[in-house]
Amino acid sequence: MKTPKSIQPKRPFITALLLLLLTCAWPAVATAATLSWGIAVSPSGSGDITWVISNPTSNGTISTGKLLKPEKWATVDLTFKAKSGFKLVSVLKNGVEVITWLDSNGHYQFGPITSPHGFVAKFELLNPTGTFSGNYVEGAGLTAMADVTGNYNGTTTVNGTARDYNADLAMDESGKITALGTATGIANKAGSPTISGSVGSIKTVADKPTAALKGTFAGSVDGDLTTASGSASGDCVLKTVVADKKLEGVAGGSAVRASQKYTAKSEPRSIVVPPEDVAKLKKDWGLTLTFKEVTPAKGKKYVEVDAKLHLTSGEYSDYPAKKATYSAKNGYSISFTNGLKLNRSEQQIYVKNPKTGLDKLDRKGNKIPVYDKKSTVKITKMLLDQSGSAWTPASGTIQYKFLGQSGKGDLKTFLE
Amino acid sequence: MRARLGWWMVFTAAFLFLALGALTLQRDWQMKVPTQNGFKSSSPVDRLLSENEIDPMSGQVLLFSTLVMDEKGLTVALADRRRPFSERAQYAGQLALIGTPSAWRALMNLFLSESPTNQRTLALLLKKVSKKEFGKSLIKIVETANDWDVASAIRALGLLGGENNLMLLSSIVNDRGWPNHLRGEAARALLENGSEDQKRLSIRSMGAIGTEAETATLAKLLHDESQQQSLRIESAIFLGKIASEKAGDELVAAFKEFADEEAQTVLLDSLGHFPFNQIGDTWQTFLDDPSTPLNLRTAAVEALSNSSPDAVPYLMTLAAEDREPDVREMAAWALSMQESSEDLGGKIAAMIPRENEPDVRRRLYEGLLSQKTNPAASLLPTIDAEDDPASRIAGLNVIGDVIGRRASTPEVDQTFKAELVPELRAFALGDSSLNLRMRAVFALRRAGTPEAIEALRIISQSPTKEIATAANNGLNNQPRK
Repeated sequence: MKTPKSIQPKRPFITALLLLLLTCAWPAVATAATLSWGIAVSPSGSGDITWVISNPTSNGTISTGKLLKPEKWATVDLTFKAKSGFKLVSVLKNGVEVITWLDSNGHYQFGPITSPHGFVAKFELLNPTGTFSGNYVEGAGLTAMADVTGNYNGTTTVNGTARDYNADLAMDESGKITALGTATGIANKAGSPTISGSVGSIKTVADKPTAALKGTFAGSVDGDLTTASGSASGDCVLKTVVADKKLEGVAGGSAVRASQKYTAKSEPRSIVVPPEDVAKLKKDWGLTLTFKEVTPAKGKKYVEVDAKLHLTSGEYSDYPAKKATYSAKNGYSISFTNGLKLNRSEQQIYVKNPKTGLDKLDRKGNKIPVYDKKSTVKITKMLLDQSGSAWTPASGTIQYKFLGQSGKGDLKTFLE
Repeated sequence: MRARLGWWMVFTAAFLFLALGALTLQRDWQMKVPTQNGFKSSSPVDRLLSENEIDPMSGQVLLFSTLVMDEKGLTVALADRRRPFSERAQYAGQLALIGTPSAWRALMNLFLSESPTNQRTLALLLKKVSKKEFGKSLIKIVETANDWDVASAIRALGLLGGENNLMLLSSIVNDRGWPNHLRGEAARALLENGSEDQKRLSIRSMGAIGTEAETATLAKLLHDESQQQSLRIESAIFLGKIASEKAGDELVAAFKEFADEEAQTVLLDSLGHFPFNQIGDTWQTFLDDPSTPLNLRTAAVEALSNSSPDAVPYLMTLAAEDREPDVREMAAWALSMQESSEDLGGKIAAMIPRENEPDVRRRLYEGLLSQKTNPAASLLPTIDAEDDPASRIAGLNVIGDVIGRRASTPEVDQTFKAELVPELRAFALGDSSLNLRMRAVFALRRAGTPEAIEALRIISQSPTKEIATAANNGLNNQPRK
């Protein structure tokens, strides 16, 4: 093993030599005058001040406050730089504004210095503006949301016989699913080939959209009257099944398998949802955030944010602008609930008179908006960077609830 | 004075030089001491090898006694637990060199009987001595031996680890051709030693097998706070699928161990799969508690959709009387998922006009669809007055259903034909959500009247593929004569 340089034997010579020189130089050190330069950043953490002292040779960065100890006749270089989302508005030297002394890089060299000074650098929070949009992308770290509304058909084996199935599904804003379908040889108790009913819901379990399905059936299979029920769960899948007592085992992914026991014959079967059916799941959704600076008649300027959520159904939830709260520690936080419903053409939906199709009016003669009570979006710890006049999201978290499901993800990734 | 100060400085510098130099040289000397046999002294295998004079490169056990023993003698010595582990490990090394199937079986039994620390040491030693033959021999035992030996080999493979061994265990877990007790054994081995995906596979399989052993393993995982929360939640889900009394007790106990709402929701959902007579008291206490958050109350009620049909009276009470509209709505939805022996058509229909919240009425309408009787005629004024789109479409499905059942009245038939069919057609072709447009098509399909069929024919030309297909599917049904 090679011995590290740091502990090689020649080191003591250098150490001793340094000590010797330091000791010899001591009288000169003792006779020099040390000055105190107090430097503070306000508000703390809003900017950095890089300092370089010529004597004693030293440098560093201040983000809150520090007492520097330069020698008399030394030079002190100070460079002021605002952190992301802030700008430098003032540099006070002993209470006197000196910001105009700084060059375009926020730098000034003081010295040769002869007296102690106090500096305060003031930074001001900038109000970000702009519109930021993001769309769900599979595999980008966001929890998926799934809408199963659509048509599903194919062939599956039920009760030992290959049967064609054809099911139309409607999933509402709470994730509840109603199905209407047919399967060869299966009829309801009235003899109709159409089997219908509530079949379950989609919920988020362990960060995945998961179908919890349950079906009851009273009717006939191949002409034999039967009553059956079954349940299953899996990663966003569905099935039209006639089952009894227990449906065991479900696997997710591109296909779903569920085996079941049939009352009369007790034979194990499995139903596979073809990958092409799973591909019909609608997962696309998007969000647009718009930041605006508001200048009130009295008081400080602040930031308002509005949001528009584009749901998998094609409709929108429009959240009017509201004040975003900011903290130096956590950045911007804002939550949106009870949005106005917009149709697929982004037109606001109002309560209609079902007979006339015209918008209903309230007592004051105003149209009555329809609200989306089931969707929420929450933005936390959002920070933005400014480059020129343009802002870009730098970090943050997005949490969302709609379609009876919930998810979260990295806001920067989502909005990129 | 200056001369004295100079001498003092020289003396101090010399002293410091000597002291620092000595320290540095000592440290350097320590670092240059070679490790024994070139191995890190911290490895348990090397400690073992060092203590027992085994040549790790050749695998030769240098203890003379082991060299003169045959396989039988080594096997007996190996099983003698009065001997220290270090000695038995030497016999194990020699036995591994013999390498017969019986030798491997003896080694497997030794392996399984040892403490985890000794197992790790032994695994590393055997791997070194036998060049992975141990794992291969275990796989051979799994493939050919009787169940008892296979179970042991599965456990040993899990402990031995390695990608191939764990993949073999995964395939056993996945393959329903294997007896359940061996699949369970493989699942437990994977749960201890597998990757996260393999652990999830194990949990799902154990939920499907669902014997007492699997319940106990899943319960242990559920309560183990050192485990990943996602795995604990997965175990809760599959304990819910096992739905035995023991599984229920474990879930109830675990409910207090999880602080966050998401995990509690999953636990409630799992518990909801249990018979209502087992969970009913817990549920009522939980829902009656004023400190229970609304989200959890709603989740608890939703979970009852999977419980036994004797939950229906309680759900009826909640749907009619709970103070929170969200809870009433979810209770009404859970009713629509339940199979009650009693016909609730009349009772549900009576609740609808009294309910102020359109979302709750919507769920009650949906609940009516699965009942034996559908008193839609009495509800016509209420449905006709609905102006919330979702509630109205749900109400129109109730009317479509009663017409399809041929249980409507002339007034209902006439209203449907003259007013509601055009409305549903316009709705299906409008710009509402796909969900509501699909449900408008459903209402027409349920009714199946000539006017409804004609409307479906028009809708089948919709540019929206899903709506057109759903309408077409309705056209393939027999029109009502």
